[in-house]
Amino acid sequence: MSQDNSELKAQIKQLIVERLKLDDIEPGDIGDAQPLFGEDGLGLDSIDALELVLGLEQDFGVRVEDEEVGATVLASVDALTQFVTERRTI
Amino acid sequence: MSFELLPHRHPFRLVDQRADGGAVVRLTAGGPLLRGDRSLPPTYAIEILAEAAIFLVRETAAEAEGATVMYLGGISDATISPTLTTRPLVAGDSLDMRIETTRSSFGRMRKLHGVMLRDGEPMVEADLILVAGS
Repeated sequence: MSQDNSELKAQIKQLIVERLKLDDIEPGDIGDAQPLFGEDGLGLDSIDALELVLGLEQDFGVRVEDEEVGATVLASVDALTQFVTERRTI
Repeated sequence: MSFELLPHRHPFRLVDQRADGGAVVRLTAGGPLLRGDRSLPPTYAIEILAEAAIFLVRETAAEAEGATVMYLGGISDATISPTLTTRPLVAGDSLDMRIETTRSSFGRMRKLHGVMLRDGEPMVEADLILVAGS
């Protein structure tokens, strides 16, 4: 299970870097628990949130219903991994 | 015609007519697009696409309900045909905007894909992010 998780985490980090065109960041540079939004974290903004949600739908078939769910789910790679594990259809 | 969600007024309200799956701009002699060197600047083309997209969103997207205005929030993966700026615009030309509303939404934002055609030839293509405001 932990091996599956680490593979999924790597996929999610790859998605973040590619989808958001974070040219100066390697997927491995993103910490599992690092906040994705805000100045203390990766510094993503609301447009990035939309891109991320679309990427999750496209790559994993999971739908982030609204901003309330998004606030929890998009908090970190750990939170995203848990969400995708529970909901993924692809 | 759903003009009420566009924050624009003359001379920046550019789209003339709603069409199936998009909107149309018809060029008339003396109109703003036929001044100067009669080429269409890419930024102008993107603006027209965004206005066309807002018309469609007004009719189809749930997040538009309750919104009093919609803005263009972002542009990505834009492709500009060289003929956009090299082939002069003439009175009588029609610019056809086709908007795919199949891209998804999150919160007050929605991503769509728009194409501007002139005589069936793609002039500009771009992903557009629209943001609903109140």
